Amino acid sequence: MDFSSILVPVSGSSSDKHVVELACKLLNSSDSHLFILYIIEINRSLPIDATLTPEVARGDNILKSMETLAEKYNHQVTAELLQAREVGYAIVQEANRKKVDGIAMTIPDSTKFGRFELEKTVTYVLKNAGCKIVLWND
Amino acid sequence: MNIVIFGATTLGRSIAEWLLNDWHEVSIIDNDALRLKGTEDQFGSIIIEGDATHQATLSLAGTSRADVFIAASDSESENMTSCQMAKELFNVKRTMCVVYSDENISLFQLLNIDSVINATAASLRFIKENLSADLIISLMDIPSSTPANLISIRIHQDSETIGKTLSDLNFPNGFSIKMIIRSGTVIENSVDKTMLRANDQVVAITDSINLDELKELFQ
Amino acid sequence: MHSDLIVGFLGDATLSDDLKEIEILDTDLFIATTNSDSINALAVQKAKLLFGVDNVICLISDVSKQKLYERLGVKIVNYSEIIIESLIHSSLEN
Repeated sequence: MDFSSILVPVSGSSSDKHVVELACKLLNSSDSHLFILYIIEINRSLPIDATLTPEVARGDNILKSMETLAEKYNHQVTAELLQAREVGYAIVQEANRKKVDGIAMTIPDSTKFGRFELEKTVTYVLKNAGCKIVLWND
Repeated sequence: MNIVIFGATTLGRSIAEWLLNDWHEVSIIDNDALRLKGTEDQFGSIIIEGDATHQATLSLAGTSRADVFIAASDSESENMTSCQMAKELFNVKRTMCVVYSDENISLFQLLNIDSVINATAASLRFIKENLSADLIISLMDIPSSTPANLISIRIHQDSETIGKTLSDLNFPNGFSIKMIIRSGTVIENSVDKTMLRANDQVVAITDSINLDELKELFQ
Repeated sequence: MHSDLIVGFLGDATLSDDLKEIEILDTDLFIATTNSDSINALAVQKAKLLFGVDNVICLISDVSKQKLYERLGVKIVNYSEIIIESLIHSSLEN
């Protein structure tokens, strides 16, 4: 399995670091590219370019620590913070725009009323992404 | 502007497309997953899945921030309810409601819905105009203290007015010609002195409600 | 109750012509009980504003619509609320 670029959406969960390391291990060479993405979902009661200072600060911190973690692997690393209406849609759009070979992401809280159910962002990405997808479940 | 549309119908989507091209912020509500998927493929993440007559759905769509709310679903009763909710619960300044017959127009106006649009009448008007079955078509009622009507008159090929100028014809008071459309070009200057030809379209303003008099004049 | 006091009409209660058919102008009380909140709201507002029926009752299941239509002068019966209340009541009795 050859990946030369992977997109990893992070959210601040404890599994973020596992997914970032997994993605780094999957990338084939030192000139391959890791994109780390933190997306702030903006409620429609606010304009899309609203400044949510605490949210941005939190995102910046998470991105910084993930970037540090990835640097050990000697890949090109780009960390970005985005504001969007729908996280799933934004992930697929970014993956298309960056033409990545794959998306690696965690499955957050998958049990609802005692029954396993795939969370809506993951479901959306699985349905709509045009590249390979690696899922991590803790 | 921020505009919330209810109904990912062909009409709703056409309105969305036009507004997005003009750089407005648009959200579109529907409860049909298939219609929403098509809308998202076309325009991106502007969709909200849910019942537009529920406060929670309207809230998710950002209706509290909307300048305009347009109800364009194919259910007139749901269009009404959603417009009333947008106006009364979310204080949207301008609500517009699509209807498909004259049945509910006066009621919806009484209910404080700002614009009520009869989609059927609008299409019919367009078809009539293009089929030119009627010589005279009312294009628009002009709301003013003295009611006026913007009309279009098509010059039939057997019309006795052909070869005459508009100033030769004896018009009733309160009738004034604005322009002549002739094979796709607009004549606006000295329209009164332009000789009429078959298939000319004369656009005029009249205060007479009775269009029969005009019809005779242009026969 | 005598069954000849109840007359059924097949029609659409949101259409003026069908409302005239049931002599809406002579109606003292108009009650809308379909399972669509919006159709009920349309029918009662038409009866009240276009045909002058003073007493209208509208069945509604959604609380946010209840507030709205009460403000507009329509008497609302919220059946979700009634069901919940009776559930709570019967569970307290047991």
